[in-house]
Amino acid sequence: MIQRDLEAEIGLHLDLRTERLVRAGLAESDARTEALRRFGGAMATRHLYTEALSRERRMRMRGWLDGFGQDLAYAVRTVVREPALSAVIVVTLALGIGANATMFGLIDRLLLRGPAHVTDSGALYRFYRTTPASGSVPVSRSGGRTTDVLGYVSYKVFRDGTHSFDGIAAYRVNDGIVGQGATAAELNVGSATADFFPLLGVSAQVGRFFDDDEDRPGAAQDLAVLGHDLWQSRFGGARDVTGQTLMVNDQPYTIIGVAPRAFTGVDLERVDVWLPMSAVSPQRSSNWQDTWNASWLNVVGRLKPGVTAEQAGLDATAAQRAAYTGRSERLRESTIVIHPVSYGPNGSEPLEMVVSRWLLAVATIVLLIACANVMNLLLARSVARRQEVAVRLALGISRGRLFRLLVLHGLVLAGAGGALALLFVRTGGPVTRRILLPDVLWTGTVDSHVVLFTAMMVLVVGALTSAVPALRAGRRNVTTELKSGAREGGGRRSPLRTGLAMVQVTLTVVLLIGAGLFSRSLSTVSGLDLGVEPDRVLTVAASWATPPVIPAGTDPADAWRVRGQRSDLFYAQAVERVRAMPGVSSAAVAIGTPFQSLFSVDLRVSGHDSIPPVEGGGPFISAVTAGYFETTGLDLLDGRSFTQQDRAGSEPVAIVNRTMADALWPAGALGECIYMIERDPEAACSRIVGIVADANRFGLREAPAMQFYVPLGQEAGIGGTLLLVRPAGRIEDPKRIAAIRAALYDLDPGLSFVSVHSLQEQIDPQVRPWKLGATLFSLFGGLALLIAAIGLYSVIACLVAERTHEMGVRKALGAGRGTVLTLVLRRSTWLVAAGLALGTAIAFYSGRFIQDTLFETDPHDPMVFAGVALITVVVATLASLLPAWRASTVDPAVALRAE
Amino acid sequence: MDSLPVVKGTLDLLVLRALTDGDMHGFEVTSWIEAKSGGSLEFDDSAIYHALYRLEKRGLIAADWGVTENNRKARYYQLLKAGREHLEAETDRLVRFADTMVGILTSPSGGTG
Repeated sequence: MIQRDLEAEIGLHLDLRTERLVRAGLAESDARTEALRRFGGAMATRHLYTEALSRERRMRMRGWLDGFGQDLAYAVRTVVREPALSAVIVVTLALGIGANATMFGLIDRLLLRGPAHVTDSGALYRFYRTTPASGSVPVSRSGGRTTDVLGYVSYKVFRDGTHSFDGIAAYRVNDGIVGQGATAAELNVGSATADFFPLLGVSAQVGRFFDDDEDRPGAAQDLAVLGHDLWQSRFGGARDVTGQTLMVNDQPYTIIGVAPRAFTGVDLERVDVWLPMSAVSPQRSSNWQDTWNASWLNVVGRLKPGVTAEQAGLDATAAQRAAYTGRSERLRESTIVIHPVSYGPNGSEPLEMVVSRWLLAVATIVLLIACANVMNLLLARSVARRQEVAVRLALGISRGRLFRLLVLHGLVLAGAGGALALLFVRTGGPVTRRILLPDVLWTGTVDSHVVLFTAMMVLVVGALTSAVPALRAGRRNVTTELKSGAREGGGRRSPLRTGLAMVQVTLTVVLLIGAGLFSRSLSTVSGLDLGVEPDRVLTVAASWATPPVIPAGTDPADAWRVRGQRSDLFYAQAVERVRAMPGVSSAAVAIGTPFQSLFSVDLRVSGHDSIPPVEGGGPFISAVTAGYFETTGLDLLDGRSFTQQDRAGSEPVAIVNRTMADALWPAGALGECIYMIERDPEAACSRIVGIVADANRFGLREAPAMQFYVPLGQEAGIGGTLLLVRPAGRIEDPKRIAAIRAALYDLDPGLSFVSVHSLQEQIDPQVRPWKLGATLFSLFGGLALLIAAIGLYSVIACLVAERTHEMGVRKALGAGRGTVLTLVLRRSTWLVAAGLALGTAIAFYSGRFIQDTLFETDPHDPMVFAGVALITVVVATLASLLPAWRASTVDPAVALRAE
Repeated sequence: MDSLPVVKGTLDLLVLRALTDGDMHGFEVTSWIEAKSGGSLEFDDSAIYHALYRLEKRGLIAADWGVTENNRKARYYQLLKAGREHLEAETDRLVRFADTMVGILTSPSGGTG
């Protein structure tokens, strides 16, 4: 275009010059050459051309920008001029975009971004050991047992014996008591090898992390690096904190630094203090550096580029087999696999993450519904304003400009919706996160990623919702539109708009069915009979600041017994004291409680040469005092419970669970014998005096195991005493918990800390995915229902408005109110029925994808499907009844005069 | 007479001055300047177009397609109000500058007072 203009202009110049030169007497060809020479040569032409091109581009851009500014201003004015319509659209979009931004924020934190301050966390992998299945070990679904808890020796073997990694480190985060006396608190104590921090690529905010020399096994120093939160809360963020002493688990540690804010290692939970692995590990085992029998830490490594996780796993397995010196067959045959650090302790992706991804999909559906709704409203608007559009076209506005105008209008609406959505995220985000992952350390809700994501959604949604109506607006025939009144345009059916309303109903039905299925899962989980009643039981554990005094001359082999005496005495007194407190219905002391710890010892039983295995494993042993079954809510099925007289030194007795009784003594277990030969091959018969119900051990879904109980004091070789309290009322009553603490401190002033938890806290993480799914699916489902109802209402309302004239005519011709009502409702009923059928079909088909995420719930649960159908029909009828009613009350005289 | 190189910036003024005689296309502007200077100014013809485009961009002149007497398509340039004012102001400035220069350069030698 420009080139042609320029060629024409210069061509003319050269022609005219040549003609003049010819007139002056030059030959034609010489004249042409001379003309070109005078012009400046071929280069001059090209130079002119490039200059003209850039000038043209600039001018066109400026023109476009001027028009853009005008159109934008016009779009904003339009939004303001139609406050009701704009408000509905903005709120609808804000709900849809907000739901997505919230879920994106979650996924971003969990999956995309990785732990804070960690360089390239995608290359970090966690080591897992899978041991082959065997009779006495609980069997997971994969057939073996997979764990991420390994020993220090594994860390050394992987570090020195593999070549697939750029670095390997070990860490662990445990509960620990930080501080002493009044300021003591149970916090998250991390321990790590010195190479952990360089592996992650993190450096301290204040001071430094410990180095290899300070973490040298056998010569470790008691150093501590504070977590940022603890530094702020306990030391007021003072920079001279280094050099001060911090008590952790009653040991003094010297503070040498502060970790950066929100640093949580490779996990996402808060860590309050980091200690050298070699300083804390000796508490685990005397030969902690070399034993294969103790496991207490996690190993992580940075995979070398180009090496696959599978190759690295084989590499590590080979290293372990070459180094293994222990006697365990299972350990020797075990294999090592590595998974991303975001994976859970059993080597699978945490269910929360699976559910989060589902919820992102759900949020997308909500957004789609919202978009369909907005598109519908904009279509209705463009119908209502078709005359204005026709006038504009007649006045010479280009169709491109008109398109831009309408799309800008959509973008302005979406932009407002996005801004409002960010407000929703700000208020709703923290709540969602608390429900979803209460342990994760969150930093802010509206960060740059979320804002960017929202901005992208605004663009897509704005363009999407307005483009279709805009294209249709531009396609109109100017003359017919100008000539026609509302009457002619009104009767037109709009398959697109009806279709959009139907899509909304369809998607809503799908979401509601999802919500129903998750709610059913949750109610199944909550109603689960675990044997014990975890929501009614508090567990209380005491710890002491100083080790007990062991009298001189005590045989070292008996030292553990002496050490235990203080604890035994304390718990014996404590249970009496607590039981007598008001508001406590019963209390007991136990070793080996469900969801806490599990023990097995060598046994012989009467009537069997060897103990036949059952699927759930066992037999497992617990040592309990009188009142244990009452306190935990475990039912006694036969025989008697333990009494105060069953104690150390009294006649050995035992109580077995139903599974053990049925497996070993189908004819009747009472009076049979258990011989605990772990420490004494000649152990006397523990006579079975009672049978109790089965109780779950750790999981919500597990096969029942063999379990037996002996009176506390008659056990051998197990430890870890807990006080169990069953309050009469609400168990989280902080006043009662404080009273229990006070009573115990009163009993023994030497206590350093008393921790009180409900047994339910141990189970909550397992219930959370369904709680989360049920809550958020229901929330989003409700949201979708609301948006779809608005959509349906607007479609029917527009339909009625367009057919006001027709209704008037019908009424004038004698149609009754009922006839008009039926006429309108027939349309909406058809629409809803189609949407319902389609939605049900989709939900039915996709049921198998969600199956694994549900808890013992049929994805085709007829109750859920029927309930959703009912809700949909009721809401849809209500949404369409209102405009239909208005149509039926049309005054024929008014309707006909309106033209 | 040797041809003189055009002092920078003055070609724009010559073009503006040419257009005060009426709308012209590029070759007419070129011919006008040649005729008025008697061919004593030395410049490439393309410089005229550079000047025209420059002036158009600055909003001093406007262009539109038209037809010559011989029915050929040509781009005609028109002096705008801003262009006329610019020409007057610049001409004034240039004349005063030239007067001063001439005064100094042609003054008799001698002491300053």
